[in-house]
Amino acid sequence: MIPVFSSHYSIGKSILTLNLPEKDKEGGSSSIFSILNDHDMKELYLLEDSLTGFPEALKHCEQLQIKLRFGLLLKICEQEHKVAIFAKTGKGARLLNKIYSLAFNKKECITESALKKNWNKEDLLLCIPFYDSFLFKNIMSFDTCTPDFSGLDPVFFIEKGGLPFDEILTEKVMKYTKTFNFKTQETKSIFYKNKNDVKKLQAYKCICNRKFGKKTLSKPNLDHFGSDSFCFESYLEQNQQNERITTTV
Amino acid sequence: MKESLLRFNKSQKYLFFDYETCNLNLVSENNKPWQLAFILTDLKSEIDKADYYVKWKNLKVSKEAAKITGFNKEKYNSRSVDAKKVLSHFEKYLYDDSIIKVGHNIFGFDFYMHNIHRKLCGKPTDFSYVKKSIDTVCLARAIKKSIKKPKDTDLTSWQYRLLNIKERNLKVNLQQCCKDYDIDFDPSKLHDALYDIQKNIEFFKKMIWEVEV
Repeated sequence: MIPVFSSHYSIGKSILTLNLPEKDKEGGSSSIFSILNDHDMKELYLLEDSLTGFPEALKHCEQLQIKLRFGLLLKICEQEHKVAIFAKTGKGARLLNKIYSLAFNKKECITESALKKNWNKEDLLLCIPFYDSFLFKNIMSFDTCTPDFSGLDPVFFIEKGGLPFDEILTEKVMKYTKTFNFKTQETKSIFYKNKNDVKKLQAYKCICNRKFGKKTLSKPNLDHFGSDSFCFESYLEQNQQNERITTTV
Repeated sequence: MKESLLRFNKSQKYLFFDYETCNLNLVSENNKPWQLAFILTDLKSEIDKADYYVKWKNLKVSKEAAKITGFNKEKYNSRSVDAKKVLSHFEKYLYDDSIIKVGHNIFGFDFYMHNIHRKLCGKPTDFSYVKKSIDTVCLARAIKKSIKKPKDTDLTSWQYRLLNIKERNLKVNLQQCCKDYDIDFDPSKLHDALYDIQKNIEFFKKMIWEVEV
């Protein structure tokens, strides 16, 4: 299972910072690099909504000798579903920058044709997030998204996010990937450090929301915000569980 | 096959349930579910019925929530039962795959409250019963908007799609559903969990003749 972090640069989504570990303060926000440091992890999968945090992530990864796998979460214009594009190489990072510029020039989304025109599978990797994907949209709304991934070889993320619809979504992903012979990858989205931090993220989401002042922790009105599992603590638990299953088998 | 529709399945058992809680937070363990009512029925008679006040230490019901739900501290203190005992009785039916679980807004609320109940009892998340569940909020939306369930879509996905329809004038709350089906309703008893599910059963019996489930 791959832990996929997001930082506070993805506004309204994560409360983790990209600070160096020594800048972490007790009682303050947690840094992704502190978590990696504490667990002796030498690779960072960072999936962000923008490229704003990329320079800081790259600088600190170089300093701490951590391999950065940077991904950009983008909306596809045609059917408004999301994809994650990871840079595999330095050239991939430059391509990502170009795609980002194209996407955020006008509509904050990229067309399928523009994505394919700038695609290079040696340098970029297309991933389909578990939540917010076209399959998720097809389950949760009356939209019918039928994207064309030909030539893009997408990898589909599968997560256990502790939500009631995880099982039906997993079934959908498995069925789709089997039909089209696409790969899947078990991942864990990480937006906060410990389960207990979920209330901090919830408070942050209430603040970031456009209906400022109308959302409270007693009435947050955040649809399906009913899991404290999007954290590193939960990643460790699930990893241990997977290891136990593997050992038993 | 029309014969497979719930309206014709006279032996089908249903578990109607409803939680009352401290507030509307779906994840906070401070939002303790303090009342749980459920009725096991075949729509002709009640097979089992419970109306539990769930015992928690440091239960804090806000003034607003107490007003809405009619929470009464004295009544709660005298009637409340150990949370694990309540859960055990409820889950005997909840995780029985032969029983269909029914409630009003369970997809958007009560599933999460049950999860909080489990967590507070030291149990892990288990939503395996979701696939055998029906939310009458979703059915009401389908009926009002004349949306039929496509044959190739499973019931759970279809209900999630209906749940996410946000239209200001599409009223599907419990009171409105009772009104739509000419069922007597006492607004002063709204949010008493047992009263709510009794009304829920009444209009569910009528709903299944209007929607192909």
